[in-house]
Amino acid sequence: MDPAGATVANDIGGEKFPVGNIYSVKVITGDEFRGIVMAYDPIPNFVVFEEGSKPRDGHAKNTRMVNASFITGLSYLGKTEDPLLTDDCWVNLDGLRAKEALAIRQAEAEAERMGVGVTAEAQSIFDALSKTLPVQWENSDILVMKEVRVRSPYLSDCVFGGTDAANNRVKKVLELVRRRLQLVGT
Amino acid sequence: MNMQPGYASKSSTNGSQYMRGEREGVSNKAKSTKSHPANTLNAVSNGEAGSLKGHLGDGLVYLTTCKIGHTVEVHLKNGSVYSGIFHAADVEKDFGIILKMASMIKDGGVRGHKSRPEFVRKPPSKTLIIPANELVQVIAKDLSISSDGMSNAVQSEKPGELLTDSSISKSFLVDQGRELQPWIPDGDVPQGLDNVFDDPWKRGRGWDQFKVNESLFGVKSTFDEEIYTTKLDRGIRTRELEERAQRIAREIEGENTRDLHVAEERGFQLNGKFDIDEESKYSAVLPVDSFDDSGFDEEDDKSLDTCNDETFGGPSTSTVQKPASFSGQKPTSSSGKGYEELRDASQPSRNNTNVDQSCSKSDDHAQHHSSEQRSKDFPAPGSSISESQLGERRNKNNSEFSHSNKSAEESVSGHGDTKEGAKLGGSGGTSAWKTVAEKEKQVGEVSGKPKSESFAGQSASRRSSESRPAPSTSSRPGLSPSSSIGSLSSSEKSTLNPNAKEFKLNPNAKSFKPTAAARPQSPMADTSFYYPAAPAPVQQMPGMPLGYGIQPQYPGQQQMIYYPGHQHPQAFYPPNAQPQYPQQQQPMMLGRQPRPQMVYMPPPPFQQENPYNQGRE
Repeated sequence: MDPAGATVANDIGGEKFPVGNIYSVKVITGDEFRGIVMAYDPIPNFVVFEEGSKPRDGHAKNTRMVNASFITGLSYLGKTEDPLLTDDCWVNLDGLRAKEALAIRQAEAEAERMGVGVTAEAQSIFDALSKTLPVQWENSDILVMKEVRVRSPYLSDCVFGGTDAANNRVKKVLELVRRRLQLVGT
Repeated sequence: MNMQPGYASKSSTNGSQYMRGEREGVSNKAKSTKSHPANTLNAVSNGEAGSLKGHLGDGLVYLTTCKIGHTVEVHLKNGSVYSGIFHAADVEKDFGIILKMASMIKDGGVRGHKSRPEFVRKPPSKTLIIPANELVQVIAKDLSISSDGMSNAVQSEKPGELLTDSSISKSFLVDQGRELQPWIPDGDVPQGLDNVFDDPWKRGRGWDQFKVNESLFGVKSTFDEEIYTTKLDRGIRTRELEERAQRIAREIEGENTRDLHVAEERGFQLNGKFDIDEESKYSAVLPVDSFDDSGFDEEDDKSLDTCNDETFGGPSTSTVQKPASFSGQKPTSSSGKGYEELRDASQPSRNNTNVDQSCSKSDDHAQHHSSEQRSKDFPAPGSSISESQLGERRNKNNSEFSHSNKSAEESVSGHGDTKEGAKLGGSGGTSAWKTVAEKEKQVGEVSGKPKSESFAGQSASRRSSESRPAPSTSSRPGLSPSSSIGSLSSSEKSTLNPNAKEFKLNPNAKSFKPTAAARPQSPMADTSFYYPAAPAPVQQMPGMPLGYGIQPQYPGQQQMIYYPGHQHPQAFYPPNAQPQYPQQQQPMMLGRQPRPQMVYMPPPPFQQENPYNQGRE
């Protein structure tokens, strides 16, 4: 499966990557790094490197799974004898699934906080407001306490709705936020 | 398991369009793919055609599997970079991957390399499929890899799961536990320290910290133990008193109790239903209408109850110092709240042990107050009386207070920490005393004057009289020695809560016989008492407005007593609180100086060293 834009490093494609070898790798995107080979499979032609020139202690490693077809430069740096993977490795699938579910939940929560199609400035205003007020996005409006709406461009006079007290409060907070963020505006 | 060939072909047929929005179909495929690696791992040995063969592929599959759930950064051929949660990889074929909740970090597309801030945000794609031929590299930072599958998932916090601090803060790099080896000194350890900590009471025999300090650092100590505790007069009658105390202690400990906590301490299996969980045992709030033993609906109902029991309950309790007040062991009735219950509960002369327990248990609850109350009383009496005095006073008081309804005699001795009592005869007495004092407190009497007379007088003055016609009445629940509390005296409605329950004299209640020693010299004197004068704060007890269990304690008083806590932010609490939990906490009590301005709980009584502490010696 090699559509147009074929792999550049065809010559490297067939090369084997013995586990434990340390290489300096350059990929087609221009990224460069050093890594120790942890695993390699010639069929899909993917290599997993542990980043760094020396194996890191412990069990947390920065890994890179690289499509060997896209490796443009490779230089051999050395070898390490440390066993990176033992023979009887096993994974806890359930744990992984739980981890994934949790990550997804967190990501979704994060996503809620991100406005869609809003500028970075708007997002930073939103973030600052969210520290003290319950805010949510509604299209490109910031909805505070479910009652007060702040429209683009999020100036003090763009605050609508809610009771007088709430409205004033939001205005005030918005002003302070803007001032603190040093944004231009009223 | 089969790869879904469809999946792979899809990606290839669509060519450049490798990104997809959420599509259920895709997700399903992804799912099956996800489990693939694991299966493949098993299947490898079969040498399925097309699947990874040999151990070469294993490592790759294993590492790929480890990435599931991990947030990774994916670089594409066109320079785009995505960040998302690794979901699956096509390990059977070409290792295309699927990310969940992926968002573009860098756009390598037509627009060139735009930096992130200039982006107008887009929501993350729920599912993103990246074909292998677009995939340059997948970067996973801090990926946990180990032969132990557990660490794969353990790293992430699991909300909803009980995590202990140590498990949260531990790093998987650290040993979970290790074989403990006894320490062997390597030679330059000063000798003679082996038994230093063996017996904390071995003062003067094994280790005198003051001497050592002085010799080592020239620090002259001005520590005088007697400032913090009442000197124990080990007089002629010590032996007798000790024995008596022991006997009473034994009696008390062997008593039947209906209180869960007390029973637990004593080793009785009170409840046949063993499925009571910790929450209901120790912290649940019992429903309001269960007015049986535990008069309080508060938490630690039982403890409160016990406390009350202790204080009032044992008939004995009273004897010690608190004159009269105890006699009405069941002052409960007077208190507005379920106080009655308490009293009844206490009937069976529960002992001080309970009190201690309960007292200690009560934390911020009403109990607390009650216990405080109790303790308050206690200290007063306690402090003033040393064991020997106690004995003497006891006798004296007994005679004096015979008027009490109850014959709280033995109370004195048995109470308190039986444990403590065990230690010394004197202490036994003291402990008993303490408990009694506790009870006394309940009664609210204890003004701190050891003498019964004074006591009576005090009570009279304090309590607005009511409490006990003769000292007896004082049993008001918990109001601590009354002194400060202003007495619950229900009878006295004038300044008291009109809604408080009437005090109903319980003829069966043991009369309180305060032992003159009741009030050690508490400076507190009357200034500090916080009298109900500040009625406002206090809520009506009956309703347990605050929800503090204490109510029962103060039948009439309510006012103050209660909870100093809420109304007055002053800290009164903590210090006084101490007494509550007497036994357990030695440290606290020592050295408490009377606090003249204490509001809420009769400071004076407390001030005195905690009777409990005394027993500690």
